[in-house]
Amino acid sequence: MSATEALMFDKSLTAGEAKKRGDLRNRKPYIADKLAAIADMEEAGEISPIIRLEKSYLCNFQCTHCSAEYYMDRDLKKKETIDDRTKIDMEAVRELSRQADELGLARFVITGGEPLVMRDFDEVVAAIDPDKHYVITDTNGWFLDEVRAFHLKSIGVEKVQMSLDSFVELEHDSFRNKPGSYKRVLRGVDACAAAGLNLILSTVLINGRAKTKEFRDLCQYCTDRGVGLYVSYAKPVGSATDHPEFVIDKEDADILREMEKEFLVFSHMTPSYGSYKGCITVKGIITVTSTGEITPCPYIDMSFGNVMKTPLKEILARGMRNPWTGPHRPDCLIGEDPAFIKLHQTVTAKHKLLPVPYGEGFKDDDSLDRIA
Amino acid sequence: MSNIEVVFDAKGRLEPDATIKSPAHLKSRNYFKFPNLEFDLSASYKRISAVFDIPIAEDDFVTEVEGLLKESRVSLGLDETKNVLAVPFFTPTLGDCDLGDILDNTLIPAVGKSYQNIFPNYQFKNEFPHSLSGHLKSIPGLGHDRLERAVATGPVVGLCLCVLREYSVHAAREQAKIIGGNFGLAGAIDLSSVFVSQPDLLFHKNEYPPLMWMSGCQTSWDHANFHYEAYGYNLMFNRRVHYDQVAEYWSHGVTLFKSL
Repeated sequence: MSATEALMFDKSLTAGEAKKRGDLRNRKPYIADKLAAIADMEEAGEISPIIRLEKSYLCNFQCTHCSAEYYMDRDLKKKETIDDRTKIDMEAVRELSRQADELGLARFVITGGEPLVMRDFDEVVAAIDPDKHYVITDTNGWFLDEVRAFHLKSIGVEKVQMSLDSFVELEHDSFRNKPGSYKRVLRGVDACAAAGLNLILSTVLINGRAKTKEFRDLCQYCTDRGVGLYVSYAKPVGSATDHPEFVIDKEDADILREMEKEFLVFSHMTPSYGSYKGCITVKGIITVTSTGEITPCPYIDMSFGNVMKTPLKEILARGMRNPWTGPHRPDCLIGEDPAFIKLHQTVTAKHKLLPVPYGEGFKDDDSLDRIA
Repeated sequence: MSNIEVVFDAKGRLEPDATIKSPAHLKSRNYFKFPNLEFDLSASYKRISAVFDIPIAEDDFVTEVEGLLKESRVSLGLDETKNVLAVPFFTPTLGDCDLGDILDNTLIPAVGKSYQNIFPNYQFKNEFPHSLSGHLKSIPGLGHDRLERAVATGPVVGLCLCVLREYSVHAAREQAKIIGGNFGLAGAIDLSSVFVSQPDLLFHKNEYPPLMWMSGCQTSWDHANFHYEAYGYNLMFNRRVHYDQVAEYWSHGVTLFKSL
């Protein structure tokens, strides 16, 4: 039986997912093989994180809950701080891609800022190498018309993750501080479908939202369109640092877990095809900042090392050895654990330039025994 | 006075012995919590009776469990102040069968039925996609082997103490050897029976409960084992690699039993 046929017979996959995987295998067998090997890697106790690449923080929006706000030029200007750290260039991206491939990692997300305002976006995709890695881009949808969607597909982008923060137009536009942005997202949904790009919509879950009609309507819309809705818990970082009321509680998370049975909705905590990762720090995701620092999740501003100075393999090993980020846990470390949230806020408040370097935030000798 | 040298913290966690070499947290911040469950033997008996043919009357069940509780208290130096979570259980005669087959054919369906009986709106799911046949064996000398032999020929009543929290799988095995006596480290049979008696053991609306390993059993994989774990309001059985790490989330049971 061929690998494609095997996929079609894998009963754990939905018909739609099996078709997508079969299509990928026909076009990009090397990537399909790596993705198929992830389950075996997990069985063997190895990790296969998605790499989020924040090459630039340039953005045309100024969202209420932006986790990258403290990395942006506009924030550094407010703080009268100059960032003279070395930035990653295309050679560094190529080297990162090479090391990731060597470790069997298969997925890159280009994020920011707003990736689609990056002048060198196409060059970044090429440096990652879309024949070796499954390339996804985040976007707020503002610039995602049909022409752009076809272009993304033509340069090797496979998937788009677009933000939609409310199914009520006024609320979304207000949360995003950008009138007209809701309509642009809906245009982007159609554009992705036309171009044959895989699409997920992403939305931020703030405290209490899981119980609202608006959220249910959004879940229904996504399910009806066959588009997955990725739900990100609001974290007390970036612009939301001053909004502790955004932070969800266990009831919100559990309501979402129940809604997963009914809708095409999922979070970073949702099991996927039998893989129950829980909190995905290091195990499921890492972020590479514009200065080459690697953080264990998009919302933790403490580094495990700089990829321009330390091999990726060693940085991942540091993350897995760390008692906060390595061991399996069922809750979101930065979104739900008050002790870690406090630690994170205390440490990051002392630094104008984020993320906090390894040794000043996360350390080799971190121990939960000390916290207890 | 106890006849086994062990120390409990204020939340009922048995602190790791100083001689343990495998990873275990010395202290716990007790971040992952079991729900506050009432030690209601009558309710347990009713839940068990709804799933298994239990060959003793409720009063006799209560007497047997209270006897085991008394033995635990004396052996471990437990008093009312220790907050130790103890769960009674009953296991029917299982015959001399493969442990994986017993789980597949009897115990996991029983857990599912008991969970459904008290939570009709939520789910119990066996997430392991293959047959369990041949995948589990009792580890000699850790107590589950005695239990396996006992239930091969007759039913037992038992008591599970959820006290080994934040131990790696190997550290739990080391600690169980230190406890010794009539105690055993919970594995496939006793832990599954616990969830029949107390299906809400990991049902916690306000806090995240720990995961319960079947560490009294060895599986086909050196660094992986089976466990019960909550997913929101749902319960699941699954397999996970542990690589002998310690996690705040990980927990193991210590059991005593008596043949009927």
